Amino acid sequence: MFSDKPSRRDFLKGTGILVVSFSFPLPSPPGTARAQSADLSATPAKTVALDEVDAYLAIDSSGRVTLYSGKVELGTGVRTALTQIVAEELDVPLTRIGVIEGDSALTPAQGKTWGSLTIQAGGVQIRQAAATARQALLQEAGKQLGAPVSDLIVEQGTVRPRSGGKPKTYGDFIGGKNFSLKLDKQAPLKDPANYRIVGQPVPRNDIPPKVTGQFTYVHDFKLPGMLHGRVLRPPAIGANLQSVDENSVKDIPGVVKVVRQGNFVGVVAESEWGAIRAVQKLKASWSTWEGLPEQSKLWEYVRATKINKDDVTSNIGNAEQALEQASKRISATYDFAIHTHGSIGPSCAVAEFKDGKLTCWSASQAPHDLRLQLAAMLSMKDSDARVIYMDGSGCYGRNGHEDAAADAALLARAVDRPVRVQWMREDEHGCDPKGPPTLMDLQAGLDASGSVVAWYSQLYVPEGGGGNVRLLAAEAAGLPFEKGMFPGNIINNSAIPYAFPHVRTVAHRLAETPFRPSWIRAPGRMQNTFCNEAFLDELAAAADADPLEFRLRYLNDPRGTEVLKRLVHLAQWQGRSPAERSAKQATGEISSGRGITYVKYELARTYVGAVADVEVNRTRGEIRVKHFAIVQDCGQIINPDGVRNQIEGNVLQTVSRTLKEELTFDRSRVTSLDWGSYPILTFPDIPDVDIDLIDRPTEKPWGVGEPSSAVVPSAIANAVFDAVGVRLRSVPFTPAKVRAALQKA
Amino acid sequence: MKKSRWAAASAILRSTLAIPSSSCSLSPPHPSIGGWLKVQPMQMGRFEMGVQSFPFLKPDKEGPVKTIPLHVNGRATRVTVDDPDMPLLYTLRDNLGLHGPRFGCGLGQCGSCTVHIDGEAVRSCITPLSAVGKKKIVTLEGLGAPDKLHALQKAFITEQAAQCGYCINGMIMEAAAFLAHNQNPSEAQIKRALAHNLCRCGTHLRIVRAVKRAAAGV
Ligand code: FES
Ligand code: FES
Repeated sequence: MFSDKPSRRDFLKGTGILVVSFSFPLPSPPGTARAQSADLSATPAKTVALDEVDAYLAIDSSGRVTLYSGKVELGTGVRTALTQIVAEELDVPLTRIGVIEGDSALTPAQGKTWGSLTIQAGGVQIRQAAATARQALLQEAGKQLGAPVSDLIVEQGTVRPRSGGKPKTYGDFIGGKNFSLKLDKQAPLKDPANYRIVGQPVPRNDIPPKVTGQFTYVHDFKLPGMLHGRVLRPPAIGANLQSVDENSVKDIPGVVKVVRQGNFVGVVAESEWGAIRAVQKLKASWSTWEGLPEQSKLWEYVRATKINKDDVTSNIGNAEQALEQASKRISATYDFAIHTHGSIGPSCAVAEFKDGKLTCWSASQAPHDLRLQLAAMLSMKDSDARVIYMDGSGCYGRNGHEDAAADAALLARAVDRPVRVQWMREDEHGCDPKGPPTLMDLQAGLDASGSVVAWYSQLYVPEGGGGNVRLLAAEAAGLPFEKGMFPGNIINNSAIPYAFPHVRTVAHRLAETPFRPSWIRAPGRMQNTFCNEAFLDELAAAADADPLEFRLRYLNDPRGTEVLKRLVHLAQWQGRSPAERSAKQATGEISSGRGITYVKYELARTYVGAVADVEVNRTRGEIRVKHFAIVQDCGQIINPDGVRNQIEGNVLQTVSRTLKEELTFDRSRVTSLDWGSYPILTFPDIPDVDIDLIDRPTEKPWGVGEPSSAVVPSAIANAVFDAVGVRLRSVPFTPAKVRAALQKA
Repeated sequence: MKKSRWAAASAILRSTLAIPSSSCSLSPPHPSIGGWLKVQPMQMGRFEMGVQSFPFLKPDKEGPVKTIPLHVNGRATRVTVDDPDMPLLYTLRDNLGLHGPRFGCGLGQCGSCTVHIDGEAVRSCITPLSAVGKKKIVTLEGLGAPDKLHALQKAFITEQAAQCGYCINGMIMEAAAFLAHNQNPSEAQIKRALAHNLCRCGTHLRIVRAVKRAAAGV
């Protein structure tokens, strides 16, 4: 029943990239199997079709399984979690599964690794592929073993009839052949009651090589004859290159070429240090450009920007009318600064042209899409470009990886040798696309009893959704690229999870935003949840209600309610009367407080409840976040330790974003170009995190990479109010803003 | 902006010998040094550049080339460079093929490039090659090998203390130098010792747990 052509063996012989992972008895740990040049021409067609089992899975004659995943490991542990899903569904030991990720020629295009969808969407596809494969393997086993499928026992990748007899391995049935099967949506999934691998805190197999220096990140990848490139950035974002003085670098040893195309100018050198010195010394003159708004007037600028359209994200009753009739009206404006991704390792890529075909090694979260972008930029056929994923430094959205890949591809084409480009720190801080500035006006009305009767919010954010953010090199060099802004789906969570009688939430979509926008972890969901949950806290205070009880009052969602109830227990939440609060706030230079927040991610999936404990120093205006309690329901949990790791990371990273982070710029360019001018949270300031996970093994698995970040800013804002009685409505909560708020109070 | 920043960076480069992590005296390299030379078949390709020279430099037409002796992970070696003020990081990564020390900022701000020089944690991205002299360099590969893990490496695995792992070299190397002189550190002391090592993924809690575990020898 399995098809013979092209055989897996032949296929393996044809492609250098796979040899390592198959010629060793055990799966090579991640990060060790990629150190060869991939010869595209020698690769026989392997299907990458999303509806084919062979796109996802291969089993060789020894029974070893290879998982081909279009979703990639960005540091979140999904490589391990996806392996667990396959091991569980196929009943194969974890150690018998190797993973190939994000190779546009070998893996199915399962979409970008974004939006907390790797497990929820990609993992579910992979699970169905494994279930389909298992069904087919058992049918074949039944035939070969002369027993009905219902009498077969499957253990550790072997099959035997219940009645006894010698076990056979999957490799005996499929080894050397293709499945040639469509994904079967009806293929039976294992009963979660019988899970032994999914739901377990399986350790990540990339951590041992990462802590011993044995791991090959894309930054470590080398090709024979590889050169090093660096790109000269313009002194102003919109500046035009007027001239380049190539003589300025002629004294630097090993410079191979100064490459100029339009406004793109880069250097290629034999050594990395040579390339760095050359780009430092290279003299170029540029036109002036001062098209950025004044930073101090950013929010006036946002308000004045042309609105291209309105997205009404919810509309219940008549909020405007109900507001007019309310006995108490409250309004506030919230804003959230422009942020940078700030990966610790700057973006990096290696590109090589061979026989007119491009191969690019990149840590892009979207290798399949990057392939199309590179092909478009270089006016090549899509099939002549290949992108191969390799782990990079943590990626929390669309950062600079794709741009570094485009830099490397342009330079490699210009010198006809493989070129590695690693961005310098100032490239990463200065040139990665930014999380756009976010502004929200909120109004609400209460009736005489303190019940919310109306909620009306207006969000000001750039237009556009997810897509392929334009490549800097393509734009600079005047080469083709997809026009438009792609900030991510940033209007998500602008609607609210609470059942008020009149609700209207509108997103005004702006025609432009100061910097090339993209998505950074929980894009929009974080900003919108901040505005909504902090404003809700204002309403609770206006209604003299306990903020936790106030939320429960308006929540018609049993899973959400359970999250909040468990939070009461985890955080030892106790209501405070207004009198208790004022008494507490009156004392001392340092005041402590706690704030609560809730989110249902995109109003459709993972639930998170959070309580933050903070201390505020009134004189200095400094906030210290001492502790976070998080309750999360993400449905079925694949790897609880992986989930905890993500929650801890989300909390710490977002405490950093909330307290410290803000892009700075002058009229021409970004000025926060290093960690001194864009500081992030450091060890002495980290909070402790307590976590309660609600596992629902029979439910769908939902994403965890983002949701618990969305609750952090508002939890802190609400805790600061509890501590000192002032509302912080502008992220980051810098000491200057805290002092100003205290002075006004 | 660009020029002044670079000027500042290269001024640091010229003037800096090393950034000590703590006021500690010299300590012998870890006994498991030399691990990186035990090339495993799977990683053979990694050492193709050899340890002797930049194979790609063309001394005949490119001006003076200097051969500099170095002591790395328990072995004496020599590298040939055209710029003795090149930061040590590039020699370790590009000439010696070591992957432990990583480029993060090149400005001495993040710690990803940390190595030990005579037992002190040093930012190799701002340490000129010429400043190293006869001192002994140990990288993450020399601290412990997969078959002979350093207590910290073991603890980082046990605590699953990594997300992307890019910062982890710096965390382990900084912590190793710190623990060598601080037997029984408090949590606050550990956090202070790591205060200049940045992690963007937010793995700090696990990193602290791992350092505590290693310090307790469990
Ligand atoms: S790379 Fe050396 S301190 Fe950042
Ligand atoms: S684990 Fe990614 S930067 Fe620390």
